Amino acid sequence: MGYRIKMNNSWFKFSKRLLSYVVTLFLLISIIFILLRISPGDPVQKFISPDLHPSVAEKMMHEFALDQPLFVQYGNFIKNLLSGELGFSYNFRQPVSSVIGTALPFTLLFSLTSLIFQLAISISLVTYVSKRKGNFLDKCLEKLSLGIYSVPTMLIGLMLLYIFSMKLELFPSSDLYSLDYPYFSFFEKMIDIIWHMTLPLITLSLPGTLIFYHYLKSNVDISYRKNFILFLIANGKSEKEIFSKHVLPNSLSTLISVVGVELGILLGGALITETIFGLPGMGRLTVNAILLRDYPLVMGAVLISGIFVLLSNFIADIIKINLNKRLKAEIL
Amino acid sequence: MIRKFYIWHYVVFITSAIFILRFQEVLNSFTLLYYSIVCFFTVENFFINYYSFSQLDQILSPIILFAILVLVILKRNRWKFLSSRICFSNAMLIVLIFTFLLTPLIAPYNPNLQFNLSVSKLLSPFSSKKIGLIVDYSDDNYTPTKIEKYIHFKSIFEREVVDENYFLADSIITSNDINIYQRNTEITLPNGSNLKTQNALFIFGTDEFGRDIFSRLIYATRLSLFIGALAVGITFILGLILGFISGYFSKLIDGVLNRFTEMLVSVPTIFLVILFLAMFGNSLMVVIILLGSAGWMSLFKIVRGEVISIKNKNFITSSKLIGMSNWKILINDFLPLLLPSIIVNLVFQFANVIIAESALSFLGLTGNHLYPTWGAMIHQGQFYLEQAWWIVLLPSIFLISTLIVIYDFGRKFELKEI
Repeated sequence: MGYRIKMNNSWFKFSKRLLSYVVTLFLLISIIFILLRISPGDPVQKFISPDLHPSVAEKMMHEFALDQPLFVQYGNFIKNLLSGELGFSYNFRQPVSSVIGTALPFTLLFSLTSLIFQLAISISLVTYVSKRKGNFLDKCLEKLSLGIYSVPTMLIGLMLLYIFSMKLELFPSSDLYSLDYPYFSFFEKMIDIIWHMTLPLITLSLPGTLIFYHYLKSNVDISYRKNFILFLIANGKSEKEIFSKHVLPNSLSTLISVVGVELGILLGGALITETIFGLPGMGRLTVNAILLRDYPLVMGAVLISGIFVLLSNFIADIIKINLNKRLKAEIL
Repeated sequence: MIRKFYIWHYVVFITSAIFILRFQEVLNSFTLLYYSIVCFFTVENFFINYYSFSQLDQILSPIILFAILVLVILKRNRWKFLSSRICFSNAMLIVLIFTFLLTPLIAPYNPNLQFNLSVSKLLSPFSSKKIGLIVDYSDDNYTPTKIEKYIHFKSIFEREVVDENYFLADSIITSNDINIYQRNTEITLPNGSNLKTQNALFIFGTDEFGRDIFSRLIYATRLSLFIGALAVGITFILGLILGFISGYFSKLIDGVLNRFTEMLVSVPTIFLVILFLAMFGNSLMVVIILLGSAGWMSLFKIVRGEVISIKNKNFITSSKLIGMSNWKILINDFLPLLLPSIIVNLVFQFANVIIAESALSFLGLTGNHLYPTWGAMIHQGQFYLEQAWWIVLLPSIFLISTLIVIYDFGRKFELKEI
């Protein structure tokens, strides 16, 4: 009986938290809506030359429903939001959901692959290094992690572009597909995409890998100094078992919250990597929408990235609770 | 024989190097100072009509140079920082401070000066050319007035566009006639013309408009650091005041502000900044204010947490009972206790602002300011990456080493080594 009450309690807390996320998102969207409408700049001007008769512009304003009072526009916006279409993009002349649908799969694939790489490489590096303390690699990484952390993403991208694409001509410099992509067989298509994604993936993953490595390494070092590890060593447990069963799970919690933040930002679009390598992702879509005053698309993109950020933080919290039950009272 | 190389040795070395290498400019600056003082007393409305910030900058920089030299030599044993050992981050910090303070003295040319494109387009590093300056002595008996001399010296520093009498050439031969060679074309000057030739060494090369990259880099350093510093100042004010309001006053305000920060954190900041840039235009002030107000969330959390933990202590209650205003309580009681954690946060925030600014400039969203920033230089150079790598390389090196310095100092503050 007591167990059930506890369960209900935690579910209640979870749902309360989700509700607060929804409220936050709604407030955010509303504020951005108001900001966009009161801001100077006319979305119609991008499509209609000033030489044309003003009635054409007026007609277009009427089509976009921009001539109506703010409350009516806000009502329309809420209606669109609830219908799931998120409005009609001015620039693409398509529902926003389908415009985002063209960019989102790439971003999901790109950022999740990158995140998996980052996690896999950093965790395996820590596993390798923690067995051999004071190793050459250990010292190298310690110095490098600060050094490479200070290199902004764009410079890594430009450097890779210059070396591997311009001088050595090993990888393509932009785009996701080759020109004759449609005529390839399935296997060749895979190879083609991987070939095109190599440099962007390295650009996106390198700083994150080193940050993750840094956090994980310092936490592992702290864990090794704790008393229960000494106890386990005294009991004669094997080093491998101590590391994988006791040290690593105890030092993952910081990493997971960092990963949560990082993932949310990645899913919002890796703007700079996309710009350097000319990739069709969410970041460029959002910025182009902002610059073209494509109001519905901006709102849609902001909503999507907000959902991703909050959701990834939420998932990170849940994983943290599952790893360490004591954190439950603290986090929820 | 110097046993150990301390920071003050390094500073003295740099100041004397600048003094020797730029001796002519130091001399010219002092002449400018002399004429501006003379003109101030003789010419009507001198400051309004003829003076500008760049002249003040030009005149002040050699004075600052000497002041630094004297101060460092006098205080070398007093100030702990000056008598500590040199390392990369210290050395780079000093270079950055020097470039920030003495910009017009270090930069050899005006950063916006375009030389003749036929000669100077995309010159590689360490390429040397000739500068010719045709001096017009039309009348020997004519003595220029003070203000004309002042304008003459001013024009030496402020060469903005190419005038016909100041040009760049591949080689200048002065045997009988004066022959000027500018990439396949040969110009012969008429006989009685008076030509001064100088060597021009472009240490870091030139960009596609024929502008000297070294000068641009020096000015870019100043502008980037300036943007970073001002933005961090704005962050400091916003974070401190909002955090104090949230932690110190009622729970209602606390809840509202907390929800607001959570909302801001849930969108990648760069999109919000771009949105506001698109709305308010991209002048320098807007960029600074936006970058400053984009990063106050973490500082807000720190200040709020600490204020909540301190506010029920006795000394705060007694200050309140004495009748101190809230503002005074914040400044006198809270700030000294909060300062260590605030400084750590702000140092890292400085790095974030510099990265964000260079990223925005790299995307071409910050508009054209009078002087370039690192990001703008990288943005401009990326189109010429294949022909001219040096345009991107040097600002990148400065950017990266600045960030290394900032992170290093942030870490030292965090570990309380300083």
